Amino acid sequence: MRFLYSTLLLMAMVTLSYAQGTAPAIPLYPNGVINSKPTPATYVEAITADSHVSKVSIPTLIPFFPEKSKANGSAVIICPGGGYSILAIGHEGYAVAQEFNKIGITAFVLKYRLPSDQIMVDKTIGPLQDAQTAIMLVRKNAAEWGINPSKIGILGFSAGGHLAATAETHFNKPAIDNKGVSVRPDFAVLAYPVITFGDEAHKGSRENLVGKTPSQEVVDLYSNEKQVTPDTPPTFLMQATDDGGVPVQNSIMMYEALLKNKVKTEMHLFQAGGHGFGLINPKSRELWFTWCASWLKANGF
Amino acid sequence: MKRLIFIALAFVTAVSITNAQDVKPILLYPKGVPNSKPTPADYQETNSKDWAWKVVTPTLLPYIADKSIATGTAVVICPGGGYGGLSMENEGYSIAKAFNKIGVSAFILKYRLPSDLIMVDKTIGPLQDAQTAIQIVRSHAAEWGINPAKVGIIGASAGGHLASTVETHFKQVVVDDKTISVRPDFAILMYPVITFGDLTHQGSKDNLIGKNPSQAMVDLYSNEKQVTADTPPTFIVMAEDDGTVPVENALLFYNAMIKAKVKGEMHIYQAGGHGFGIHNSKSKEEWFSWCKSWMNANGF
Repeated sequence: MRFLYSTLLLMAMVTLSYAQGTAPAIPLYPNGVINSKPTPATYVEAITADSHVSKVSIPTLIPFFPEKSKANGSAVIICPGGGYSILAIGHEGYAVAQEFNKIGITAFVLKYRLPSDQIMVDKTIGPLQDAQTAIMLVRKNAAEWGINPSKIGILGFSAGGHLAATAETHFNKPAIDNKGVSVRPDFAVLAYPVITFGDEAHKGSRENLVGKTPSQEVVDLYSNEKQVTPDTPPTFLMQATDDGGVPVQNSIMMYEALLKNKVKTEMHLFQAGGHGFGLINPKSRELWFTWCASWLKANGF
Repeated sequence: MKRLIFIALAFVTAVSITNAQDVKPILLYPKGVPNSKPTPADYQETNSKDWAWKVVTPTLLPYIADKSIATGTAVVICPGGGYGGLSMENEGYSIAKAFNKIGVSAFILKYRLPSDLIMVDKTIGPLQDAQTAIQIVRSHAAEWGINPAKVGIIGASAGGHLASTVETHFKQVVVDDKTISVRPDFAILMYPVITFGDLTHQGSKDNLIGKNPSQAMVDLYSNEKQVTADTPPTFIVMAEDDGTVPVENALLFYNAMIKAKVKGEMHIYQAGGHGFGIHNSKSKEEWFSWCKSWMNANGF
């Protein structure tokens, strides 16, 4: 017990560097997690010193409300990356939410389930269910939270960028019972995203989501560059050309698909920065988040 | 404090006025223009405040950076205009001034526009002028306080085609002097014409290589096909809603750069149209600031 206490204390101290929401976390499924199996005793959510969350079985939304005087009515759901095996919930989650608050946007960090046959019936749709439920939840509670229900976007990093790209291209086939509430995000921000499950895929993310021997059909379904339509919302893409984790072609393929479908899009490809830098690219003096903020504003968000 | 600001402003004004008056065009070819025919009487250079047409005697307009802030980097500026004119203000003077402010010396290239009336081979005229410009800047480097290994090229629209030609055709030296390198050390492409294939800007293509070019000629000046590992680092800026040059031009070049492992950076605004120049009025963000950071990161 004492051990547990000191562990908790240590965790609290470590995570102090990131504020964990301005209000308590909201369970996505208060009446029971959909598409779930009984969670094995060994499948226990954990967080490391550098804020990597693993083994999520009870997905939540962690809200960050801006000061009321600053709030502009827009909201964003943030999907941290981590190759669909962990969530880098600090630098690709909480830190980003705080920046959104500074520009008046309400942010929700999505602690989504990571695909696993241990806790899910169909692991390929688990993360999407959580993302779509998050959008539905924010839309349903928009009035209460001071949010305009037509200004709800999604942002994701790396594998979280795959999830965000999936959310912005698969909204016509909800993986949940959406009860008539639209699960289409109004904008998407994709930061060094995994896009394709084809030749240029990030293999780890692909294997974790659709397994080692997926059918061509499933590969195509989750190769989001193939799922773009004219209804795909305006999208902001950002990546470093020297990304050694996810080939930069992922952003370019998505851009080309968006362009072909006449979707409003902005794309910034840094020369250097590698993979996973989060808010600040250490290889550049420029701040992509500022570009993103201007882009959001220009699009009315 | 107010007085100090006033003095500073007066000084800045004085300096910039002096600069404007000081710009003395440098003849690219003091001993005669290569690849030229006797100029017809009715082919005369014309100039408006913002544009130039029918250049017969190509020149370089030097804007040397103030010594107190000079970085030793220089850039040759190729204005656009579909190879039919030169957008001197929007894609020349304003760009040169912006570079001077960050300590980079700038040289606006008033290049010949391809024409069978004044050239033997119009397809190489602009490239000859650009390669000569780079040689002139390099040969005067010491005098102008420039590092000859930090000479870049920038071009907008058709000028971006010329700049991308310069950075990919430096082994195809079309000038007499083979002793001074014509390879730029970096390139900046503003909403450039890149390809002469399906997604070309037809006007630029027709003007440079005519209406019935051979496939070999189309490929030669489709610069996405000419990128090699030796192509210098390149910065590209464009807008998705460019209604004149398809944004695919930027993508084609960038994809070729990635394949050849050429360092680069690319920014595609959502909006801005074609020809926005130094400042995209459809965005609060300044691409020139990104460009400056990129140059710094690459040692320029």
